[in-house]
Formats: sequence, structure tokens, C-alpha cells
Amino acid sequence: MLDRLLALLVLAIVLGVPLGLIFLVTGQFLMDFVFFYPLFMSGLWIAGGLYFWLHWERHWPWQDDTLPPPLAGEPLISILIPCYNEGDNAADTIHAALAQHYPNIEVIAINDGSKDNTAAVLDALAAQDPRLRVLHLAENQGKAVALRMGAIAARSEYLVCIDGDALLAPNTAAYLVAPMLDNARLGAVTGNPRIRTRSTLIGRVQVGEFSSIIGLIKRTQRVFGRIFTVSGVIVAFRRTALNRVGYWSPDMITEDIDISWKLQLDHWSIFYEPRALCWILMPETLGGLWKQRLRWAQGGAEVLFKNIRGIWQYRHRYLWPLLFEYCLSTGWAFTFLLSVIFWGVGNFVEMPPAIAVHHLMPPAFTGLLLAVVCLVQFAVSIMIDRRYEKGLGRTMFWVVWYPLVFWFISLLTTLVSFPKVLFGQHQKRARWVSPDRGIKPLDDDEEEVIK
Amino acid sequence: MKIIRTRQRPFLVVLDVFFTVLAWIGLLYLLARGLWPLIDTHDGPRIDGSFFDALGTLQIYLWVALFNAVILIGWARYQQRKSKSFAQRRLPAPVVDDQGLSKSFKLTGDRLEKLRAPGSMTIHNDQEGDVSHVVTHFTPVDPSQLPPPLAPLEHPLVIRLPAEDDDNREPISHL
Repeated sequence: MLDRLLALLVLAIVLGVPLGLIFLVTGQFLMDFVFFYPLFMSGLWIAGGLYFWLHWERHWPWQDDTLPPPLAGEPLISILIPCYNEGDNAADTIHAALAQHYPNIEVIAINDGSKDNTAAVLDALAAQDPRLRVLHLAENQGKAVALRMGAIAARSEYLVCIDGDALLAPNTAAYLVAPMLDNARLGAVTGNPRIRTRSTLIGRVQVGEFSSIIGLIKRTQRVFGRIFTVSGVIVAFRRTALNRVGYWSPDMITEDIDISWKLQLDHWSIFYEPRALCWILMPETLGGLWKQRLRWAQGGAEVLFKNIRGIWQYRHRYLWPLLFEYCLSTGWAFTFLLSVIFWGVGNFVEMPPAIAVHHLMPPAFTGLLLAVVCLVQFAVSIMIDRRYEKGLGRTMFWVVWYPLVFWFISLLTTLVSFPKVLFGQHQKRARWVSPDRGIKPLDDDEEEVIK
Repeated sequence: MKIIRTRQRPFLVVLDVFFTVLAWIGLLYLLARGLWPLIDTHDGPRIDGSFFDALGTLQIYLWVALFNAVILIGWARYQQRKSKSFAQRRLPAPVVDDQGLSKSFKLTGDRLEKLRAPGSMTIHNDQEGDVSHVVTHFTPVDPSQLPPPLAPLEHPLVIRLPAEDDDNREPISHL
């Protein structure tokens, strides 16, 4: 009951603050916030990304023959791969994991009650390489439980977790674990996911998005010292840290956001390591993208709601800016919704001057400035990221769609997910199926090999 | 690493390219349309007050961005310095052992050992997601049942190959 009341309060704040400010100031304030907030954040991400690059990243050698830092004592690294209906991808994923240049690894594939031929594929692979162990879960339990089972079976203190369709670059495991050997209070290191699926416009725009938006945000958050979320598709954990926080929560729809907050609430640090490359499959249809982004937005809202009572303690003060930024972006989505509603209603009914929105589009100068800053952000991120992927500059051609399509999807998913989480029935176990992994290639389709 | 470019219908590819070019043209047009009033006056194109007004607005935005950047970087430097001194005072957390792991996952008996056995196994979970039953598919072999290791040879046969760079080496036909 208390949770429901709290949910109502949160929704009232999210809707009430912009509404109150409009009445307090003018309808123009609404549009100003809609315009200035992305501009403000874009400037911050560019600054954070550039500082990360200038201060650290550009000094790190990165050539074809560059070796990762040596791991003192050569500790065992356990690579955990939860798989659900990954019959088509599992073999490639396991082969890439076993092909790590670092010699002391074990790979644990967890077949999470798959209904396809994943079990047979994994068993056949296990028969070929003793470094691979396979755990079959009798029923589908969700990714969090699958990871928990993998953590029990793992023999190492360092757990590298990837998805069943992700391909590790040969040195990724070493890059992820190296910082944990040097920093005793480092609980997790998140890697650099790169998109493999580039058949449709949606796939190609995401290549730019993962560099520009996600890469720069991660770098900025690393500079700030707290990370909103690790990338669940490529992340390494210190087992001791996981053990202290009770491992992954089976009831959260995005286990990666949840575990990031659990670790940081327990004062573990999280690093971002851009050299830890992992090649991933992403949705290539609008429907698939919508499902994925809705799940992400829902995951963020779930974590906010889960922690909203405890996070105000002074000892968690370093996480307040992350929370504040999350609330602002949610508030931004609702403010945008309000401005559309007021503009729509204003076309038919005379609105009070205080809340009248005359133009939905920003003035030419401000709108263009926003678009130009967005493109500058893409250019900066590609300048930083091009060392990890040659020819990245070509994706600039497609990113012109990003502000239009992806911002709109982010806006809508926030609007849908927030009430869904606040008022929906909380599930005891979060199970989900990956929406799509790109357009299926035919045998004679073009596959470009990048080194 | 393989980048997947699944074959699309040529019509769709052309459509993608066409609309993207159109979007760029639209953006450049809007950019020109937004900038033109700043330099176009009744007496023809020239830089006047509105242009400097716009530059003034841009300058304010730039100062705000710089201020944000300085705060972010200042905070990062402060954190770095603080964490250096803090790390020396803070001991690493004790590493979790098998006993702690069994306790965390409510594992009893030899279940932990069983879960760490090589090969493959099936795990049955209860309603809470905890382990209720484990069936191993590859039976682990007891060390006492393993065959004894091979005994070393009393007079091992050693084949010595002449050095590659030794020009005076004898032909190896006698081997």
C-alpha cells in the first residue's frame, strides 16, 4: 500500500513540477526547458568524453599488435554466457570466448531452458573443449537466475559476463580484469559494445548511437565517478562485490541497471573500459527497437522506484546527481508531452496565456543550434572511437536521423514505461526474450571482417 | 570480427539513401534559412546588429557549457586526489570463499562441488530460483579409480638433432 502511495507521489511530482513551473513562469518556460535540457546534457557529454580521451584514453596504445596489460599472477577468469534460444549464435559466441589470448580462462554457458537446439549445440561444444562447461536449467528462469547459477559454478574471483549472441574481441577479458587487480574497491568494469547488424537504416543509426550517445555518456560518467548502468552484454564483476550485494536480482527486468546501483550503493566503484570490445547483435526493425528500448526504460524506472526510499541517506550522496539526471530526463519527457497537449488543445480552445504553447517547433535559430550540437557530438565521439573501428566516419551519413527517430522513441518509451512500472503488478521473476537480433543473413550474404 | 550486412532489397537501399540525402539537404536548407536573416538586411547582405545578437546568445551558451565542463573536470580531479589517499586507508574486502558462497546460495552438502564438476549438468530450480536438484551428465572420476601414471623410462631414448646453424654438422641419415 505504501509503495502505491509513493508511486502516486512520484507521478504527481513528475507531472506537477513542470505544470507548477508553467503557471509560475510562462508557457514559454516549457519550451525553453524542452530545448535547453538536451543542449545542456549534450555539452556535458562532449566535455566529459573529451576529458576522458585527453586525460587517459589517447595515452593508451592501440595498434593491431598492442598487447593488453599483463595480469599479475595470471588469475583464472570465468566467462559466463547465459543463453536463451541461441542455437544460431551460441557456437560463434563460445568460440570467440574460448579464443581469448589470455591463457587462464574457463567458459561457463548457461542454457536457460531454451526451446530450440541450444542445448545440443552447447553439449557438442563442451565435448570438444574441456575449458567449456555447460549448465542446463530445467526451466527458463530469466537472465538473473542464469547468471547466479553461473556464478556458483565459476571457480574464479573475476566473472566476465556476456550475452549468448555477443562476440568477445581476443583481448577483452584481460582488459576488463586488469583494472580490478589494481583497484581493490573496484566492483565491476563495463566494456565497449560494438554493433554488428548494419543491414537497415535502424541498424546503421545505432552504430553511431553506441559511439556517440552511449560511449560519451559512459566516459562522462566515468569522469564523474559513478555509472548509471553497466552494459549487461559485456561486463566483468568481482565476485566478492557481487556476494556482498546478493548477486543479480531475479525480479528486475534489466539486471544490469539493478546490479550497477546495488554495487555503487555498497560503495564499490565501476569503471568503463573502451578497449574491452564486444561485438553484439541489435534489433534492426522499428518493432524490435521499440520493444528493446521500452525494456530499457522500464528497467530504469524499476531501479529508481526500488531505491527511492533508501537513496536519500547522506552516505549515498554521490549517486544523487545520477538520480537527478534521471529525474530530469523523465521530467523532460513529461514536459514535452504537456507542451504537445497544450499546443493541441490550444488549436481548438482558447488557452489561458500562462499555459499557451503557440509553436511546437522551436524557433529556427534554437532548433538549428540543437541539431548542430547533436552533430558536433557525433563528430567528437567518432573522432574518439574511430581507433576501435576503422571507417566509423561513414556512419555520420546516417546519423542525421538520430535526433528525429531515436529521441522520439526515447521520449515515448519513457512516457509508457514510467506509469507501467509505477502502477503495474511487480513480477516475482523477470523473463524476457530478445526482440530481434537483426535481419537474418542468408548464406551468400555479405559479411565484412573487421580486425 | 564479422559485420553483418544482410542483403536488402535494392529498392529499400535506394530508398534509405534517397531519404537520408533528403534529410541532409533539409537540414542544410534549415541551417541556411536560419542563418540568412542574421546577415540579410534591407540594404543587402551585411553583418549588422541581429548577427551580433545571435553571436552574443551563442557566446552565453558557450560560457555555460564551459562552466559545466570546468565543474565536471574539477570534480573529477578532486575525486582522483581524494581516492588516492583514501585507497591507502581502505583495506580490500575479504575474498569470498566456498563456505561463504554456499551460504549465499543456500547450498547444502556436496552441491557446490557438483556444480563445479566439468562437462555438462542439468540444474532444477525452485520457485525462488535457488538450486533444488542437480543432475550431472558427465560422471566425475574418482582419483583412486584413475589408471596409475606412466612410469618414467629407465634408459630414455634421446634423439639429439644437430644445431641448424652448424655447418659442420653430420648428415642425419644414421638416425
